[in-house]
Amino acid sequence: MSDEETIAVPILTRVEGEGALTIRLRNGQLDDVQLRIYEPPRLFETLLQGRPLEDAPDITARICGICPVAYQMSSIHALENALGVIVSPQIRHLRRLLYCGEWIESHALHVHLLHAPDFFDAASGMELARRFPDEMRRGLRLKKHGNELVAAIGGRAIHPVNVAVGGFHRWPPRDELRRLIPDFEWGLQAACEATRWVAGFAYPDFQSDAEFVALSLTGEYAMNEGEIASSRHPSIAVKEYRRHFVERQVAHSTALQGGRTPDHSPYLLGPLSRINLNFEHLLPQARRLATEIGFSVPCRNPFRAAIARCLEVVHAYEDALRILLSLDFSGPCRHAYQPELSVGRAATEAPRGTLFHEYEIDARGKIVRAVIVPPTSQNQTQIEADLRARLHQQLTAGTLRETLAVDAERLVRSYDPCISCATHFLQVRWEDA
Amino acid sequence: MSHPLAVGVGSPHGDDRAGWLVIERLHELGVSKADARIVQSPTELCHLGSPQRPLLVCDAGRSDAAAGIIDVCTWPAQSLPVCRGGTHDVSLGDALSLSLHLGAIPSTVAIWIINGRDFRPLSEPSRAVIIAAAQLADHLWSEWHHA
Repeated sequence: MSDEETIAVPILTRVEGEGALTIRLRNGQLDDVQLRIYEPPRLFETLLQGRPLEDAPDITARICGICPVAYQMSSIHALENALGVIVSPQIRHLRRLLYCGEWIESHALHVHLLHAPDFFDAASGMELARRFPDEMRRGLRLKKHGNELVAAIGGRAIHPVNVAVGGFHRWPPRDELRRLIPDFEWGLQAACEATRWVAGFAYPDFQSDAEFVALSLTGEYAMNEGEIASSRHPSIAVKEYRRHFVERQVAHSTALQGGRTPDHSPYLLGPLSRINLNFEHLLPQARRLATEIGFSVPCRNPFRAAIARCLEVVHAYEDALRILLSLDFSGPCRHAYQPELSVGRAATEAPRGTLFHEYEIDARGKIVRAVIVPPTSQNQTQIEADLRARLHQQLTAGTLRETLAVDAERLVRSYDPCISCATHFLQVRWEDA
Repeated sequence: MSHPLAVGVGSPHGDDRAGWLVIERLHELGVSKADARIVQSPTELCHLGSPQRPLLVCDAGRSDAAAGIIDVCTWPAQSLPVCRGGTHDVSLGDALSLSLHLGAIPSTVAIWIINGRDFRPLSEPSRAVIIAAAQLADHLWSEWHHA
């Protein structure tokens, strides 16, 4: 008779949303591992059907309180693709600046409050704040800068309201943006210091064999556009996305799981993939800092995504400052368009990875069909694959099962999964067969 | 005159402005902008306060109570009023805990929540919330004056 054992982490902590982890052992060997997402389906695609296309940015922003800009950016780009709208360079720059704000606030939050506690055996960001008050204060100031930038452009820090299909409802007040420049100059240096701090953490030794996937664009670190690049396959145009990447339902998760056709093989999105595929496009300070701290690409250790996130914060500060110092609000803030029966697609780089949107619209400008593929649903398959490899490594080394559960949860957290928009406490439950 | 640092949390959108309205009224009554501050995110408490100075936070809330109803509690001895939804990325409770751990606020904080109903972008605050905010500010001013 086989000896079965289940290790369950019923509630994943310090992740956005509600999920759990089940590890099944048979005769002391790994039998199965499941990242279980049990949060109810939120049905946003159906909610959009029949609504005016102008509603999409504000409705999809509600999918997440941490990365609403990503949902707004992917939705407007996809709808503009359907409408044949090409925005002016001024609008393009302002959108990039807005996205910089979101990368800064989201990454600073994850690195300091959600991920860093793992490297000090701290139960929470609160506990870490007692031990590293200066570092946490600095991290919160970085996050605040990101929020302020989003608020200055978008009208408010969470779920901004100024983003529109075709551009923006209005140009933001120039003085309000310029007022941020001294803070961002300080923030750039503070982000470099934060990166040095994070680079000094003790990282577990683990190598993932993941295929890295991210947008890639000639001449800049891709955020709002680009081809879909891969560490294993040729790049493809975004319009080809659904021929190469699919989602499927699995019994243990209410979120669809992404995979690459034809065999549903896993792939990794997010900062580690972006930096591995686009390192040469990082701005100078971020690139120099990577060399200084010994961060080389390709980096295959998912735990070290914390460093990639910090380098992206540095990059975002550099990029934001570049745009803030050369603001140009000449020309219209919004382009006109004439709806017609059409389909549009776009992908942008949310803090957690490539976020794909597809919309079919009718001649009255109503949404007929919407497809939204968030990065976390795509990463689930890779997270499970990495968990299997990591657990196998640890079981072979004779790691205690208490440690297995803690370490597995930490590995999940290193991908910064955004299961939805809530958080978080921990109850580890053991089930012995 | 010494009085608590008053912080209003909110945004310019409908009844979410409640905390800001209290602070704006305090300014009209003569409280300096350094002593009565408006912020968008409760995490900014980490940078504003000090453990030595009493702190008072005014925020908007959304519960089953009618617009304009004011809840008050002393945190952390009393738990914060339960709200449906929220406009903060980090909740007020979490931000207070974090600020306490960072030594940025005193060990007890007075929390005033004005219940609202209409939080639509760029809408005006409801009349009930405007009146409640003014009454609360006047009450605080009078309390500090007679302390």
